[in-house]
Amino acid sequence: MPSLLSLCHEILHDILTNVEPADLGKLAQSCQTFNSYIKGNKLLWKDVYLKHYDNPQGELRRDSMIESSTSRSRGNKVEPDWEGELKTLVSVQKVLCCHDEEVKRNSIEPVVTTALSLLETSNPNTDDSLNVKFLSQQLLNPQNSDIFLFSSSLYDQCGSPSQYAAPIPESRQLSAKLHSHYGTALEAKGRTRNSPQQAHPFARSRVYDLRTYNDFNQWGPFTDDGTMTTDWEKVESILIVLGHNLDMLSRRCTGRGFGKVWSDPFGGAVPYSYTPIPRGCPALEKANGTTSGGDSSSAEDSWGVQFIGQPNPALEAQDPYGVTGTWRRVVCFLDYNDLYHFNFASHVLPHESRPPISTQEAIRLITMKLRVTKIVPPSEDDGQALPVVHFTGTSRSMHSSWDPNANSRLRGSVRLTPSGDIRWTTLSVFHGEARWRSESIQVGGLRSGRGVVGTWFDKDFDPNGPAGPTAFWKLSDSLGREADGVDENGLAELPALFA
Amino acid sequence: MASASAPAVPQITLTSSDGIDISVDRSVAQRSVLIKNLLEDLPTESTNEPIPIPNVNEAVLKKVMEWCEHHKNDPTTTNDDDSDSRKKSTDIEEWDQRYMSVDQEMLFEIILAANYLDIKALLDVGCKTVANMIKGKSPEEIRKTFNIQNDFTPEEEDQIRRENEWAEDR
Repeated sequence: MPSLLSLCHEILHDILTNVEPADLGKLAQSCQTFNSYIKGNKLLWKDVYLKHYDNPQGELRRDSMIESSTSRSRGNKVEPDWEGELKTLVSVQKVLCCHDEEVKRNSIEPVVTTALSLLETSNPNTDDSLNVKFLSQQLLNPQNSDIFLFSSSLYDQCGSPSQYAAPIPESRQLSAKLHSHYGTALEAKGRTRNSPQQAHPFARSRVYDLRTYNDFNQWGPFTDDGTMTTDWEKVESILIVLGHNLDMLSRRCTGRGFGKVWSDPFGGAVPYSYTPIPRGCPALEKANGTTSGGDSSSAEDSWGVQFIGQPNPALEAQDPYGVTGTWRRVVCFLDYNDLYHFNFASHVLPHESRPPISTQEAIRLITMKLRVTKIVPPSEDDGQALPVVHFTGTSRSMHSSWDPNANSRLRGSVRLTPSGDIRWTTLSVFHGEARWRSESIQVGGLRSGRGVVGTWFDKDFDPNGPAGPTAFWKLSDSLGREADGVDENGLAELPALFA
Repeated sequence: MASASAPAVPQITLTSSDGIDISVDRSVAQRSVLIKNLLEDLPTESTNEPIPIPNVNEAVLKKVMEWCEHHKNDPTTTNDDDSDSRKKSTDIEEWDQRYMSVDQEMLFEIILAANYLDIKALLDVGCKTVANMIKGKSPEEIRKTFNIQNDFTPEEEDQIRRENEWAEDR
């Protein structure tokens, strides 16, 4: 008479790949046969892992150069420890599903670290990703989002009563990092007295506090200790401010699709998630300013041919960051009088925060066209896994063409920080003279669709400012027509200020 | 597939392990890849001969053919491992759930027969049914359900519980 234990190993495998990962732990405790069948059964653990999460070795890179030079788990040929990874994931899932707030609050470090590594090994197409689906679903639970997304120091000042800063600095950083990857979908929109305190006035106060721009962090979103480690609490505040401003802008220009950049949970916040805007979608292309309208696909095609004919296509092929192409940039700034008043009119103690501000900022949308010019080995101050890529390009305002600050030449570089984040530096050059500099971090890692988030400031690091937040994300691999005002056609009437 | 030239649907005969002849539509029996390949290898005139199925008794063979009859118009399974593996095991269609409401002995007999006759979709439903019986149960409940003896010494049991703490609810 057949029974469960009498089945051959192939059938047992088929059965056990259909149980939940945690059930394997229960089965192993039921009897010797199951214990020895399950323990160390690599193929079983692998198949159960792949049923619930994305293949960390999947989507093999088109570009073998990147594969050999990146240290990320995705590129590694080493077989993952399926059993160990899955056990970690189950214990994290148990924390996320429990109802004990204290257990959760004490687990920020393991939970967020695991969540971030799930993002790193996610399917680049976040719509199809099992990892992103799992994380997004868990974060729909308000207790989970309060604790794991809203525990940076910012939430001591704002948010709901159940959102507050974690006691340990590392946990605050991790929470801010997960929030930066998650995006702005859950920002408090409350306007009534009892609703949660909105974060953006407090985030704005941090972003425009000139004390946070100093020699130790090279005026970028880095920690103040000279190690060039990403300060995710800064990135988080910048994203909140820019996300709020883009949202306001898109409400004024309905149907232009500007507000949607960061509102999709984890959208584009994983490596290799950048995809060019699909052809044959003129409305979308026009809204993003990649074509001049009209017969977009044939125009794109002819530019593509032109692009292949460029003098040194080999440089693009060697660039792991995917620099060459058309990028959308957003820059915000406070009116200089407001910025000066905010920073210098009243005195605060060195570790005291400045008050929240809801002063309207100006917003500029810019189209950048960048091209790789040089690829050199990393210096000893950089992360060693990838080269440093230099580029030049142009920066053109999507607003009125007379705006003297938005149309410029551009040069810059991309490199890894010592801790492995992707750092972009740009310099805007007007009539041969550099004026503004920016330092940013790419959220989501190599070739992410989310984009690059950071600060802009005077190239001579003027302590009196100005300075502010900026971000850019890639739209297309094509450079388009440079001479022809591509963007002015559709977007000339964009408001420069949205006061 | 079934040719339209014959007046009735072409039938074949299967002989079960206990020597009983069962007559079924050829298209129904061909849900079994084993039978399908066998028929393709046979010269046309010998398909009237009964085909012996030495590993499956009458009760189980009839039960399996019942499943094949119900699913005879399903698209034949292709290399769909990728999309299939993403389906959670709770996704068993209603008819199949009712079909699988049998005692455990019959359930495992069906699984073994589906494996032998190479009917992938049926094997899959059987395995998912067993998996659902395991899901969410404690070790003791698993033992009870499947009549498994606890053969650990108390020391072993202790150690194995510690090894599997990762699977405990928080």
